[in-house]
Order: sequence, then C-alpha cells, then structure tokens
Amino acid sequence: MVLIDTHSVVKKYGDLLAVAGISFSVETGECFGFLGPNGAGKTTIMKLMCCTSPITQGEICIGGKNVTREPRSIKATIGVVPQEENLDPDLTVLENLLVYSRYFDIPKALAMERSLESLKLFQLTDKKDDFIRTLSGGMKRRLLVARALLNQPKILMLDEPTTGLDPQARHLVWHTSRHLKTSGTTIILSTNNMEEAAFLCDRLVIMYQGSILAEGHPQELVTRYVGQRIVELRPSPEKKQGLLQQLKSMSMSAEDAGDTLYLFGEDGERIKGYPDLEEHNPVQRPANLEDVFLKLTGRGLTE
Amino acid sequence: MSRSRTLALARRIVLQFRRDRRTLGLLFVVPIVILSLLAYLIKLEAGKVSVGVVNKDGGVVVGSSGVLSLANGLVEEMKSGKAFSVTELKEEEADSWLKSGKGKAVIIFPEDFTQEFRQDGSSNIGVIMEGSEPQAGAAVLRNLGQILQALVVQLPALRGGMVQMPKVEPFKLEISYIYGGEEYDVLDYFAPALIAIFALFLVFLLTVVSFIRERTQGTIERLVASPLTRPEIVLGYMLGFSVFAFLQSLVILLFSVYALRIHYAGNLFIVFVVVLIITIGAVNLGIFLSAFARNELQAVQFFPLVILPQVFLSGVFWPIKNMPIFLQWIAYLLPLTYANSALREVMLKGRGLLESSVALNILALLLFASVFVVLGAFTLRREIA
Repeated sequence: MVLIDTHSVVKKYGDLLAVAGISFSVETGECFGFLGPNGAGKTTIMKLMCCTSPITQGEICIGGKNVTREPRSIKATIGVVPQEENLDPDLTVLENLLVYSRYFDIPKALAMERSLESLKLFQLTDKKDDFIRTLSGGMKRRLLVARALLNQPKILMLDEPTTGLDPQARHLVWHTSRHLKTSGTTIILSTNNMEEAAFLCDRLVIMYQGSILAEGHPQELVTRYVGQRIVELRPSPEKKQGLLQQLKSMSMSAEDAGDTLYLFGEDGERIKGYPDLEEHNPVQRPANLEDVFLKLTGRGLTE
Repeated sequence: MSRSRTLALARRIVLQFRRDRRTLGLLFVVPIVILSLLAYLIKLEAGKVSVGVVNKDGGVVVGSSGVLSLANGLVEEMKSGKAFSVTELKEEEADSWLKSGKGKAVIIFPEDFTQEFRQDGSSNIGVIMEGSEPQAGAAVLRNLGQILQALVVQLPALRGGMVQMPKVEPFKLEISYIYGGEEYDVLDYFAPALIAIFALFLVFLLTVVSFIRERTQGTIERLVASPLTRPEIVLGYMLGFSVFAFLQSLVILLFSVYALRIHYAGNLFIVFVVVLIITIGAVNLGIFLSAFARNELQAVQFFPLVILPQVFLSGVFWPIKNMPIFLQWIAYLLPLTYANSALREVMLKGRGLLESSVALNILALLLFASVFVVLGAFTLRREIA
C-alpha cells in the first residue's frame, strides 16, 4: 500500500532550486532512503514531507492527506530525528521527553510511562536526571530517536541519523531502526553514508543537485549500474593520461576520480588479459553504492 | 614571543570585524547619534514655565500720585522676565486651569497684598502647585523667589516712607498642591518612568536573547515539526516569557511602594494593568527583533538603539513639549512615551482608568502591543517557511 505519494515536487529558496521536480512513492512498512552528497536536497525533501516547509510546486500526500492542506494531522503521525541535535539544553533527559510528549497532547501519565520505557530501550535510564550538556554525542542522538518515537509515529524520519557517531552508537541506531521496521513503522532515511543506505534501505533514490538520478533496491542498483565487481587503477600522475588513452583504444571506459581510475562491470574482468596494466596497481573489490554514485555523477558521495 | 604570530591574531580580529558591517556601524554610529541627541537635549532651553496669576491686590493710595500696587509691579516683572509665561486668571478658574495641564502653578496676590505690606512689612502670596512635576514646581518657586528678592532690594526707593522696613521674611508663600504635595520628591516623579523603563527593557532583553537561543538551538524547528499550530506557538512563547515579565513588574512595583516608600496617588491595579500591556508589547518586540540577529551579540547591539532614544525622548527627563518639533514627532512614535505618561497620570495625579488622559495612553500602548504581536507572529511564520 502506498503511504507517501509525491508528484513533481519543486522547492525553491529564493533563486536557489533545492528540489527540482521529483516524484517517488513509499510503501507502508518499508525503509526508503535518500542517498546523496551534502546539498543534494535530501534534508529539504524531508522537511517538505514533515510539513515544516511549504512546497513551491507539486504535491505530497501522506496516508491520503495532502501536506499543504492537513499538516497537523500528518505531523501527529510522524516522528522526526533532525540532522542537528535540538534537545533542550536546560532540561534534564527525562524532562526533554515529557515536555515533547505534551506537544502531542499525550496525557501526563502516559507520557511518563512512554518516556521511561523508551529511555530503557535506548539505554539511557541511568541518565534520566542528567542535563543534556553532560551527554555524549551518541547519547544525544539516541535521545533524539527516543523523543521522535514518543508519539508512536507511523513514519519515522531520520535525517542523517548517524553522522558524527562512533561505530557503536551508529549500530545502536541502525539496530533500533530495523527493529522498528519489523514492528511496522515506515522509515524515511536520508544519508550520505552508502554503508548505512545499503544496510537499512529496502529501496532508495540517489539524489544529486535536487534531482533523482536512480531508484531501486541498493544491491539491484549496484548490479544495474556498475556490475558486481570493480577494478581500481592507481597510475602514477605522469602516466595517467597515457593509461586513459590506452584504455580508450581498448574501448574500455574508465571513470576518472583524481588519483584513481575505476573500471566497472565487464571492463574490470577484461583487463586481466593485459598483464602490462599490472604496473598501475589494479585492485579488484566488490562494487558498492558509492561506485553507482560516481558512475552517475562523476563525483564522490562524501565531498 | 613572536611578533608575526601576535600580529596574525590581531589581523584576524580586525578582518572579522570588518566583515561584520553591522557591528562596525553600531560601534561608530550609535555613539554619534546618542551624543548629538544628548547635546541637543541638554542645550534645550528649559523654556518658560507656564504659570497663572490671580491679581486681586487693591494697592494703597499714595499721596497725589495715585494707587500703588506691589502686585502689579511683580506681575509686570514676571511677564517681562525669561522665567515665566504668564496667564492672568480669575481666582475661580485657577483649579480647572491647572488640572487641564495648561500650567504648573497659579500665583495669587490677595486684595490686601500691598496694604498688609505697608502695615506689617510682610505679606502673603498664595501659590497653587500643579504638583505632578517636582522640578517644574521647584523652578516656579526659585524664579518667583528671585523676583521677590529683587523687589525687596528696590523697596527703599519705592517706599517714600510709605512702608515699614521689611521684616526678615517680607513675603510668605502659602503653598497648596493640586496633585501630590510637599512630601513628593524627585524619586516620586521618576518612579513611574522607572517602572515603565524596567518593564519595557528588561523584558525586551530577556525575550530577545532567549529567543535567539530558541532559534539557534533549533527548538523552533522542533516545535514546527510537532502538531502545534502557529497561533499556539506564538501564544505559548508569549505566555512563557510573560510569566517572568509579570512577576518582575509585580516585584518592581511592590518594592517601590513598600520598600522605597514612593508616594503615589492612583490605584495600583491600574498601574499593574499598564505595566502588563507594556510587557506584552516588549515580549513581542523582542520576538520580532530577534529575527534580525544571528547571535546573542547582535541582539545585544539592539539595546542602545532601542533603549537610549526612548529614555531620552519619551519625556522621562525632558518634557516633550520643550523639544523641537521633529524630536516631538519621534517621541510620539515611542511606546515609552505613552507608558511614562500613563503611569505618571495614574501615580502622580491619581487619574482613573476611564479618564481620557489615561485611557488614550493605554489605547496607544495596546496599539503598540498589537503591532508587535503581529510582527512577532510574522517573523515566526517566516521561520517556518
């Protein structure tokens, strides 16, 4: 069942075109990802779905309701984990959750019950009376997720939820997300971490400069655009041009990414027949989403 | 210690401030504006004090030269001097003339003014003080004293043997007050203004700085993502900040009345209503202006701009009527003008809520408050887009 349906959504900030007319749909219960570098428009499209920023053109419907016309009832069904931590620094951990619950008209007793429960789930029970400034980055992020879940949202929006986290905290967020998904929550994720996207998403779109470049299951996207394996060549700088010429004459197309040349799919297999390329230190490895992005844009994801 | 490293740091600071045009502007523009304003105001002629004169003096007949009236001479003296602008009144008009705010005092020379003086070498002068402005009252007495003093010096020439040698106290002033009284001092006069100033500025300061924090910490963004509607957000912020504004005005008022024992004539409840309206305006002015500052420093820079002109121009220290017209125009655009005027009317003159001098000021304050509410709500709306 389609939960989120969008048609040619455009968002402009003044002259800046942040989202350039994109369409996609999200099924109930899936984890849908936006993968792209900073400035691709990921956060903007999330904001449009959260009804916190007006749409310039186009249409977004969530659960059959239009975000422009019924923002309040949509907001009540969404949990948001923002990219930047915005907890109340002057309140304690527990107070942060209680105050936020009241914004959703959750009755006091129930708010307390849910807050304590989610503190337990996120291993923050010991910290419940501590002030926010004493928490580590990972704890703050966990608290943000805990807060987003207070209204038992149908949709959880995670905007770069693990940026700047250590691996342990990252895995806790991932683990929770998958757990929520199995319990029926639809998850919208924006990230520039292809590992995260591959790990969590059932389906994702690759975004670049406000547009969608590709859409599909992570593994399927990899297979479709770059094949299973990839060969990296690292020629010395003075030999790079010569190598590019040589590859061209062999009708292989290499992606030039500065000090490294990438050979996708078949081409990667074919160079095995050319031992003279050994001097350029070829390395073969499994292809990933980063390669897809590189292939589609000629640039890396994390810049 | 390395010279180049030290200079590198200094250079960075200079560069940083050169980029911050607004800080630089304020650094140079604000003192110049404030200084010129002050220079203007301090040089401002105190202006003539408007007084009424009731001259009932019948004089005395002196030989063949006719009637001599000391009071006539004094009135002429007052009219020709620089200190007073004189309006001649009938005795029964005096009270309403003062209450209408046309003058600061009425000076009454009784029928037997000259006669008394001739007999006893001493005479009474009645002075009715308007009383709401102690400095003006003091100026009246000071200037009147000078004119009387001059008369005493001239007396031997005038006398021609007609009067006794003047006593130590040749003229006795019988002073009565319409508002206030002798016990009212400068503090009583400034207390209403100070209450207004605190209510306006401390609340403004509180709001503008904490609202910047709300913006920079992303708290607003979080609220916007929740089902709270915009009016709920605006009202919620207003109520939250107003709690402290409210408490503050209560504390100031009670402290002034019970600890400093300022004198007041009016109903404290009206004072409180006025203060409340001021603070609502101040909260929303804070919300509005905080949209134009990126950080707390820039917010602090608003203070001299918002506060100093109001303190100087709103009639707290210098009567607005004495200012040049263009400054008067500015004065009437400042909320503190109305706050100050309303509180003085109530506290010094004991005026009621429904009397026009109070009601019009309150109406003006309500207008300011609603304009600021709209502006504040508008910037919140911008936040959301």
